[in-house]
Amino acid sequence: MKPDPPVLRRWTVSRDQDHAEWNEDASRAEAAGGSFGWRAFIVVADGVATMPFGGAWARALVEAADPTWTSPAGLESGVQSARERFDPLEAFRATSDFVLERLWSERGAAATLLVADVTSAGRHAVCHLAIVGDCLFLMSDGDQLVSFPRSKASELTNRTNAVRTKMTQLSVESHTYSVRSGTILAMASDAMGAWLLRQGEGDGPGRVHTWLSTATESDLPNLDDDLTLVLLEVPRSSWIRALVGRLRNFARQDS
Amino acid sequence: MQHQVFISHATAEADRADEICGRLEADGIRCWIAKRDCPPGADWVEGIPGAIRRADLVLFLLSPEAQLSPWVDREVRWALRTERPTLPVLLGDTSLSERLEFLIGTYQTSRIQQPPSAEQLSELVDDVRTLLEDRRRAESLVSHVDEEGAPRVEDPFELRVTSARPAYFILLVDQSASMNRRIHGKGELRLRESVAGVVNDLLHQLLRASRRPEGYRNYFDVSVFGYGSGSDAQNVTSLLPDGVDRVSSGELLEKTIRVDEIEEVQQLEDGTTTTVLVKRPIWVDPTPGHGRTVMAAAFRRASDLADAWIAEHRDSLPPVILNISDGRWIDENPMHAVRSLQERVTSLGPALVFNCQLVPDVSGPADELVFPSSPPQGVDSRTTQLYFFSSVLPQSMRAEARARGIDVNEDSRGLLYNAPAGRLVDFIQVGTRTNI
Repeated sequence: MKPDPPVLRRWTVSRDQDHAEWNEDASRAEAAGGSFGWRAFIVVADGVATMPFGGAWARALVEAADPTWTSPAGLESGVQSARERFDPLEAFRATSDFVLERLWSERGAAATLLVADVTSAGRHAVCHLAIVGDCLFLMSDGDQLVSFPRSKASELTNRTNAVRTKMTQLSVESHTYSVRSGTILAMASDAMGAWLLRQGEGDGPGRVHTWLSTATESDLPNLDDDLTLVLLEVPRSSWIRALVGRLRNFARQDS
Repeated sequence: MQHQVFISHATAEADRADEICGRLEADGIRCWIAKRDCPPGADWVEGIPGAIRRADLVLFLLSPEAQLSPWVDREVRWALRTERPTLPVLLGDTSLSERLEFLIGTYQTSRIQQPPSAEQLSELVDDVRTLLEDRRRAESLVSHVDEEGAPRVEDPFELRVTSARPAYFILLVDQSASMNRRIHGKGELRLRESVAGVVNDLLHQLLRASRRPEGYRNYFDVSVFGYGSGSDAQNVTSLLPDGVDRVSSGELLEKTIRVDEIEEVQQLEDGTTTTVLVKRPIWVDPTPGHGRTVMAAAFRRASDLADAWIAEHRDSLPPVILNISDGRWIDENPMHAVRSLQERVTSLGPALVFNCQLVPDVSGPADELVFPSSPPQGVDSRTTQLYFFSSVLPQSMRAEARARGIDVNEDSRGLLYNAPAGRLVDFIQVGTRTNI
């Protein structure tokens, strides 16, 4: 039986709700199934607002990212290529002036970044993850809430660590997780991640799991920031789905 | 039944207090009066503070005797300490003593003759009703916010500015004759030139903070008014090009009077430095002044500007008024104008007023007050008043001050006094700190 790819839910909200186009978060989420199983690739980037091209740089990173970026070396090399291609003054030539040019030459642009490559592996899935700055990865199975790279909402305040267009050493935090079927993975920009952690700290992991299972875009909180959230529920393996299907058939015949 | 009004009076006015109490209660306004509500044998020291704290309004009946009464004095101080709304009622020809003028002189007062006419008592009841109604409105505003489940905003300046929730800065710049003085150790540089430079830098900073690839966002509104430049004592004029009252950050670049090119030393990535020509937009030129420091008129103008802006931005960050002068006021005490300005509120809080008094000479740090947290000692009363009518710094601005190496605490006020011109940058950066 060919496995179904996992269902992905991806939402984003601009902090300036009258201007969705001003959202400086960017994201990408894709999943495919095949004879090998399934694979999902997720990227979330959050442009630093005090740098005028933060949103454009976040979009450029999301577009350029590939699964090799989940290793520090792959990320370093991929970001370097993205830097070389990124020419915002050319892209925004029509609206440029001396203020924008000087800001670009002085500051460049910066964005936080999360890259996740999730592949099925029998009854489990494997998630390779790389994060720079305040993005958050979270796993919830109803009993436990595991988060990376921060475990407390109050820790999501590292405003300086980001992927910059100016040459700087990347500070990458990477990890590989084995994920049980039925687990929900959440990948979020900083404000959304901090909000989820705060819910867990206040109401416990069960409450967060319920929220992640049932949330729709309209449930996103209003947090005075651009928000991005990508959710992936690791599908149950095919034999469990088959068993559940048979049980349902029995139940139907019985009634 | 919970009282609404605490009546403070001297023993000599006990009958008058009874009369006023009876008139207010006849109108349905429940009062607390010591003779009746603090029975013989009860501990006054326990009863009176609680009664003041629970009151929606404290009425002070002020006669010459009352102004000498230590009990009335304690009640005044307790009402101020517990931040109770107050209504001083002057009896007969009584005028406020210097002490009470200092403590409660900024509040609206009522006056009644001895004995009062029925008409005066009715007017007093109307005044009390108005003040109680103001308080009810303020409380309903707060509870309305709570009901909606919105987080209580301790410091509105923690919120990020958006085009729908911009910040508004009003700069009041002293242009009196004394601003022509040269700054010690700075060659030909005069105070007025230094201030104009800092104002231009601030506007440039707001312009840059509003810049996005597609254009400028209206994150800030700003007004710059000069006072004391001419012989007309009330002359307060906009210093922005075309004399506009205010300009938004989205329009700032169009409103420059010129763009200068200046040499700037820049550090390269390899650690070496290079000199480059950079453009510096100019909005305000230093105008030589020959008038006097008419601060009260400037604050009144700021109130008008704040009113007009708040009418369009009720849910925005409260306006911030930065008053930059090299001296103290001449003629009219600005206290009433400042208090009135501080009563301008958006749904996020009251307007903040910060004051900076510059000196041309660096006379030593001992004389300098930088965001003080208690009334200055051993200075003249106008300096103390400057302290009292400077707003307390919100948490986010305190953090900005600390980041600049300035020691502040939660009582620190937005006052710079006897400060060298170089401090002005700190003052401006702390007072205009926002979250982008």
